[in-house]
Amino acid sequence: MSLPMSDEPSPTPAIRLTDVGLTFSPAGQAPVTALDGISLTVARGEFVAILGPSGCGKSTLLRLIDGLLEPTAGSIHVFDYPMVAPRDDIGFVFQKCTLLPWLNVMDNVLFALRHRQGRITAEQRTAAARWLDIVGLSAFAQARPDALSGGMQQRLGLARALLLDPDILLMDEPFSALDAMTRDEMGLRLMQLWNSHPTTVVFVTHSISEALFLADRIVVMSARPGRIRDIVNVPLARPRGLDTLRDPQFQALANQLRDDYFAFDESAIADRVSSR
Amino acid sequence: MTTRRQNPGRTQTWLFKALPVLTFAAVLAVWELCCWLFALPPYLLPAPSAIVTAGLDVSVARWAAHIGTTLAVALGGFCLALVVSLPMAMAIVSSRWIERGLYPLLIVVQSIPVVAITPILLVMLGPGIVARTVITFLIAFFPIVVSTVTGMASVPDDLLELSRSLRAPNRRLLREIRLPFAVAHLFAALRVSSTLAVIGTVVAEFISSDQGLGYLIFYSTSNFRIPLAFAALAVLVILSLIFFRAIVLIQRLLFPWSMATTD
Repeated sequence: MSLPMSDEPSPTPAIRLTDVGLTFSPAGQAPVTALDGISLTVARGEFVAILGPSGCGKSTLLRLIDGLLEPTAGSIHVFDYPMVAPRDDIGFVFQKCTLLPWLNVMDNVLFALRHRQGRITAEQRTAAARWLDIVGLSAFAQARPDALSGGMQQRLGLARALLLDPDILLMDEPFSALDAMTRDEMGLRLMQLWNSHPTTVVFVTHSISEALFLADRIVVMSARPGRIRDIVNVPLARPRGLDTLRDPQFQALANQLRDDYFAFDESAIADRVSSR
Repeated sequence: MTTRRQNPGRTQTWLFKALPVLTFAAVLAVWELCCWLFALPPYLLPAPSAIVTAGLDVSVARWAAHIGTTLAVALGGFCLALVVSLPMAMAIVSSRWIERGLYPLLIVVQSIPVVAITPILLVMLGPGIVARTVITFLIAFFPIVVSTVTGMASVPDDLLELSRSLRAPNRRLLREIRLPFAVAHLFAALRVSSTLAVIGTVVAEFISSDQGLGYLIFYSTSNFRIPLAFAALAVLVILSLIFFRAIVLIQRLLFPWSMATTD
């Protein structure tokens, strides 16, 4: 896992998007193309970040992979099966962590499983306690979620998704509502967790450093319509931790990504200015 | 200045706490004084002391019978409204067809003035407790349905997506997400409906009853016993307040997490 993924996908990829497009056609209005020509293959065990400005359709893309939305063009395959409906082996972590205020922390962890199956077994209860321990919330099992800080709430949301034991974890800007320090802490915690429990992750973010720190590959998107501009391999060594952040290569890559991104923007702005 | 406002002296705190009681006592004192000063006849405005005397003239057993009758109909109609409203709200939220079919009918029913339909219903259902309960139900159930539907429909998109992502069946979405989410809305409506239920009961008693606080007001006014009518009115107000507070208390005890959003 320490090597960056090559462009050649492994024989049975976790996710395969082929020329996927999504056009909304609201009644009485001009159709809006949210995503256009998205082709992407995610290998098993790979950590892929989708990076882009707000409005580029990256959250929409994640919802397509989860089966919450249906593409209007192209095809989506998960473990070589065409996507028709949400699957049990995909977990979703939302931007707002969607905790239920009427349940305590423990019951919130169990909620997704109970909501899917209708009941909970004793083993699953034990597993929930273990995940709560791993994300460092054991002491708060009986607390109400609104008594937790933002970072703790997101850890709770993560534990809830992980209890489903998903083969693919989709994360939709899970740390974007947190303050900068908590956000860094959550990144480190997520890496620790992923190092010990590796799984396929698609992580949507608008932070260059977050994408670099976490991912094997970064899918850079542009907006209106959402298209893939670039796919960048991240050659940073694994397992990653605080040392990664100190690595000069990390800074160099961040600078390069930022330069590429804004060079594109600058030329676009220059074009518009010169055409006037 | 701000520190003084936040840390008032002991006397000031005591005064602040007692302020509602003091205002109330002042109003009663002015009322009593006016009646005495201007020698108002009791059939125009009885003095508070005359109202208390008239109230004490009626035996406890009679009071209990009147209160019991009114309370039974008000509570019965209110509970019936709750029992009918919740499934109706769930049906409206789960199906666009039911929503489109039922909502206009509900609005038409709600637009009928209760005072106007009461005599008609009393002819249709007879002068007994059933008709009065139905009238109370009619006035109390609409706010509960509308408010519960609003609450269940205002579940955030993220939560609905979570449920869809887990492929949970609609009944579990209703029971485990929509219903708990609507508890705050439901209780806001129950507080309104508790007051409405008392109004409905009294209106029904005006027209057809031989017992109850509404009947007592109607009967004593037609005999020019205005102090007794005021006494019955005071008891009615107290009953209404207790009803209202009881609902707040039930919410605080059973659903403490829902209090923050409504209070």
